[in-house]
Amino acid sequence: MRYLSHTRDDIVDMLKMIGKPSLEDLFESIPKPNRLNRPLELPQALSEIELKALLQERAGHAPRSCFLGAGACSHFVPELVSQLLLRGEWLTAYTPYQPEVSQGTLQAIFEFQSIVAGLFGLEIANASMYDGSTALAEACLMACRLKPGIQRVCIPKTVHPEYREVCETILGAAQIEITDRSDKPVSAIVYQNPNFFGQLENQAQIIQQAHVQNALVIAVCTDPVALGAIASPGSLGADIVVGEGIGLCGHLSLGAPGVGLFATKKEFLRQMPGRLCGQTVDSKGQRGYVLTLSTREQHIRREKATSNICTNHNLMALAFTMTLSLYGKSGFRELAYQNIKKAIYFRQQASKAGFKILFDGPHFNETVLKLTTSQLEAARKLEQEDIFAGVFLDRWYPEYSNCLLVATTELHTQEAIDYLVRSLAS
Amino acid sequence: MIGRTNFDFAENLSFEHGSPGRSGVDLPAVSMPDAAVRDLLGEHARLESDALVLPECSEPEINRHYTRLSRWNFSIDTNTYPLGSCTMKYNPRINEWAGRLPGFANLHPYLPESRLQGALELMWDLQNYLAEIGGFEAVSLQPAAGAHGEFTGVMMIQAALKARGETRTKMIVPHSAHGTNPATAAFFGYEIVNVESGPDGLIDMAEFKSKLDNQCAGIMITNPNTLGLFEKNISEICKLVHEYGGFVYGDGANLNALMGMARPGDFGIDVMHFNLHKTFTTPHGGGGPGCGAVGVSKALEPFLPIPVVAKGKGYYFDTHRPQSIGRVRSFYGNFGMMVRAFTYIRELGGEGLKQASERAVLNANYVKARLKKYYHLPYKTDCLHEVVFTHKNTLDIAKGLIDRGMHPPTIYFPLIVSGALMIEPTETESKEELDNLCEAFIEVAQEDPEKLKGAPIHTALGRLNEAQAARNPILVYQHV
Repeated sequence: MRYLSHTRDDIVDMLKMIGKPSLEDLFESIPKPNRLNRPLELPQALSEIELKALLQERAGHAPRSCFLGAGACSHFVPELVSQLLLRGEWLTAYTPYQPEVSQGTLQAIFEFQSIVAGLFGLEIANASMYDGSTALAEACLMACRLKPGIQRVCIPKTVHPEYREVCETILGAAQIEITDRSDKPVSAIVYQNPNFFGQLENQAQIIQQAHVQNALVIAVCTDPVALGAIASPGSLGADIVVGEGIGLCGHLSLGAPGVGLFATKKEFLRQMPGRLCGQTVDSKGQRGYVLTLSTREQHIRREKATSNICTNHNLMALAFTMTLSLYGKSGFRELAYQNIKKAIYFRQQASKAGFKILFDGPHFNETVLKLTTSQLEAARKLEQEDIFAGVFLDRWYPEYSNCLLVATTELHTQEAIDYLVRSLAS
Repeated sequence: MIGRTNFDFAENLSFEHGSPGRSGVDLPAVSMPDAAVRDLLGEHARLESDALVLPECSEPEINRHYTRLSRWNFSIDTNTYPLGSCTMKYNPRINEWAGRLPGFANLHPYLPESRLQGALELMWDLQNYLAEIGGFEAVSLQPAAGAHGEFTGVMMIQAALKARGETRTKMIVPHSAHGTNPATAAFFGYEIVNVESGPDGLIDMAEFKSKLDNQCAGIMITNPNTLGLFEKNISEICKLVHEYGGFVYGDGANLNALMGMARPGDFGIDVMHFNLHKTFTTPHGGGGPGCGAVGVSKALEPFLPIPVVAKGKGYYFDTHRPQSIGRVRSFYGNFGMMVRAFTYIRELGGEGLKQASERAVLNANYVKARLKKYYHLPYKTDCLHEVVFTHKNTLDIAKGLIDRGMHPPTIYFPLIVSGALMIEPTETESKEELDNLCEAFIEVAQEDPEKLKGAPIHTALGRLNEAQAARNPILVYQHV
């Protein structure tokens, strides 16, 4: 086995040092009835040559063209990011428990926290969560800790349906009620911007009304690229902002792993879940970074922790940090602008071709088309060309039958958009 | 092996590099003027004052920045990393190749199932492999990490009790457990009932029995436990918990000791999370992403989170499961990590996995044998994949090891001993590396304790002031 170095002589020497006659004897502490007395029934071991052939066959090829977004919108990530992530010092380090030998990871987390806080217009951000949906659930839990006594949050239907389902599971377990109406007292009001249908919400108004009702405001952003062009929720007063960064991490990988983003106001620091990296100095007074405020966390506080989260999505947070750092201020704004331009173009072409577009008003990079029977047929036919025109909304919203959510981004050329419109119309 | 100073460069924050207007990405030109966007956005537009915190650098600058920073990290690829309970084994490079195959990496979660058959087959197979390795009826790959797996597992236990019309109030958690165990149980409103370890380092059976009653939802147990010792009464523990109508949660963090040797499901454990990033070599990534797949017994199978990967005519995501606890995250779990774990299991096969566990236990026992003269061994019981020593100057020992080129072990955990040094060498360290590790441990043990207080001296930064970081939290870049 190529990952093991022990020769027969090594094993003999080591057993001698240990004082056991055989490898089998090392397992004496496991009672006989607890031992497995047969080989594991798994497929035969494979050489790297055979393994590669098997995996290539399973993987097949990437879809030719894809206009699917719905919370997993792919964006352009420079090749450098993937190359840098392959450096063993990033890939094979673990949680930076020993700061003197983990300054690389710690400084990168500090940069990530700074970027996320800035993006969302808030003062502080944590070192990442699993994904956007669990980040939202944690935000709701945090809001209920901050507003004890009101075990209810408002999550409207314009929030990603799977995020709402995850909240039902997690908040349900914590006896927190979810409502989509705003006429009951709630500890927090959630909104998604751009919302699940791609529209831009009137953030200022939502936030103001929520605060009048003495509720906290949680904003969700499933495609942070939008924030290159649109006002940050924090700048308008949102209390907690969460998001999903997968589109900027390099690979969609069937939706995960991506990275959950979590930012809030400094006054709520002690109630925040997850790891935090902070700046400090070393014994010689040099600037350095450490994991900090871990008295909120499970390994110190055990049953009194703010969350049970331990492992986060550090490598994806690093990818996100590298990608945004490469774009830079002007590049990131340009990226957001290009997404909006592609959506404007798509809507223009779709309108001209006679498509019915649902939801008017300002939008980001997604558009909902209401298809006729023949257009629906055309969308199915496109799948045979390995082109996927969008996500059908009736999967979650029976009221929107034959409605297609189409994402158009910087990755789609004008020709590809033209071809999509032409094919769907035919 | 002595640490030697190499080319180490001081490296500022990315925000302190570059110059206004620079970017490391060139996007294709788009003919539409910016005015169209400004008109559309109106009052939705991001204002100048709502500034992004991003560097302005060319690609070479960013490349150098993150390459330099990487060199400030200790990693498995560079040195022995005997962090107990974390299973810092070699992360094979073929895994990275597999995870980056365009046919896996570029799959959108909402592609039609017919377009995802290869991926679904891989998930189906991985579920079955894990079920076989752990001895479980079924497996869900959904949870993102161990703690998330615990959440999922305890929720299934609660749901199963509820289906019987029962609400229970307590959860037994041994004092030696990982902090995530009590944190998870407390989330569900369970009162945590602590059980101490006996003189042999194992759960004190008398105390356990005295605390077990029909208000206990069950027990959360790690086996081998966090001292690396096999809980030899595991079958009896499971039997007793079951007699009282409870369930047994297994923390699978230490599965690397057992592959092909023993199966937690066979002990009577009802639900257990696997840490694919520990046992099955998906990269640790500086702290994740992991994958905390959960295996369950027949009794808990109906409660698995949705969707479950199922096989009919083809493979599909089954969401019609009336007793399911629901969805625990968006999409289908950390698929990228599943590809890597699948790759590893297929490369090793059953015999290879068993050999890995054998060597992991051999390595831990070798380190134990070599170090027991120099460090206090609080429990003499035979250990499996990790060994716990104690010392009166644990932190100084840890920092002294850094100067000798070694990553310190896990320190001050488990909490049941004072000043713990928890060493898990893993199977992928050679005998020579283990000898280097042991020599470093012996050298620090014999070093002048006063001198060790100044360690590490070979790192770019000396000891960090953690108290100051907590007292005056600076969590984001401060513009000067």
